[in-house]
Amino acid sequence: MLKKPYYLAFGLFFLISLVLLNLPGKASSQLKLVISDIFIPIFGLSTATHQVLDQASSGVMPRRVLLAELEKLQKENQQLKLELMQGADVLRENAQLRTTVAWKQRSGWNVKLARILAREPANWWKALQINLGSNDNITTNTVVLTSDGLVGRVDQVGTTSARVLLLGDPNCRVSALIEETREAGVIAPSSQTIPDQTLVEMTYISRHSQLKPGQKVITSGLGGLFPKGIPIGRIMEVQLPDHGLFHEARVKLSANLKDLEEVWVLLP
Amino acid sequence: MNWWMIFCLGVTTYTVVFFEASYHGFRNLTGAQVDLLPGLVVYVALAHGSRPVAIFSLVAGLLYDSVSVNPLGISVIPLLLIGMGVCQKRELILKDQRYAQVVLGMAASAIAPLLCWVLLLFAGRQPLVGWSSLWQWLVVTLVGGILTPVWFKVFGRLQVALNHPSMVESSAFRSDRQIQRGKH
Repeated sequence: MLKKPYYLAFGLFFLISLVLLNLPGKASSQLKLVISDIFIPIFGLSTATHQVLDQASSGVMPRRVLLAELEKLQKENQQLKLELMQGADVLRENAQLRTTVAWKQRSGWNVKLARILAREPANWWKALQINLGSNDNITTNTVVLTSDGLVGRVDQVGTTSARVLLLGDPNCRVSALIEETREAGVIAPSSQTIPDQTLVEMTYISRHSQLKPGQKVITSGLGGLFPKGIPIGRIMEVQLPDHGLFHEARVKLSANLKDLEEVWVLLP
Repeated sequence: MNWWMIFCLGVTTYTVVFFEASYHGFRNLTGAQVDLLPGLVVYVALAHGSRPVAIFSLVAGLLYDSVSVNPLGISVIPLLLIGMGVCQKRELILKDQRYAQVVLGMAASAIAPLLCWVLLLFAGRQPLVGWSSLWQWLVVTLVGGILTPVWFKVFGRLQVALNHPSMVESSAFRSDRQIQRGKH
């Protein structure tokens, strides 16, 4: 009695899952987006609840804390104004020099703030979902960053949400540069034993390079995907293989990928 | 299994996937995100049988893959295999015993990521697996096992609340079954 429906159910659903697995890439990702849209109401509700809680907590914040915060922000504002004055002068000079040598003017970044909706539930990928999609001009491979540094790139785009692959994911490799020595390498997932999301590895660095802990790592701009000069992190440890062709370095990421709540998306 | 139970199971699956995608306090603490679906499939297999297991595996697997980088459908197969495996031996399993629930939950939570990992390799993907994955696997197995009896408890109570109560006979005597002797 039990056997017939048992094998029927098993066979049928196994077949369905095999068909789903063998769908063409585009159809599969479209179907995935349609199914993930089921979660939009609950993600929206969760975001709204967070906002209400934030507002409620800021409503009961003591005046003393607010004044201290205000003072800190005023100081920071003054410092930034000074830096802006300095920067504006450098920018003017740079524009003049570019005109002199007939170089193309650099265009400024067009960024948009995105909120994190969800994170990767599986332990073997590093990804997250943001609340911007094709309606907001987001396309595949759009660069995602914070004010601290690079976060990753957009991998899949829906109408109102997009999936971002984080630095350290096997599918998100970045061409990088050590700022001081100008040595190039590639940022890849960390093979170390502690499951730390803030560590990645920089590989394919020349054997003859002078690597030191604390050196700054930035994007190289090679490949055309990531603009040059976005901070990635700092070298923590250098591994010198005895027989290998390249050096490897462990890099502590500038952006704290563990506690991200909002990110900037670099629009084309 | 009535419609209310199907509805409750669907809502629970949806909530579990949402929880796994949005709550990361446990991952920040231990370095591993827990997976509650294998424990849930053990409950469905022991309490409801093969067809509910097949439907649950498909729905839960698809919902999980839709919020993950996993290829769509890859999480369905481990859940289906575990659920059907448990289903086949459900008559022999002491499903009301907490010990059996924990052991089965642990086994399911241990097997599901392994099967998924093997399938990912077959699908030509390169999941992030290293020595740290052993720790993550251990955490997932333990937490999955510990939480499995919770499903039995929650759905047991729901079943009592949503089903008609069984009729309790006030006494052994029933007038409609009385044997009347003699001529009538």
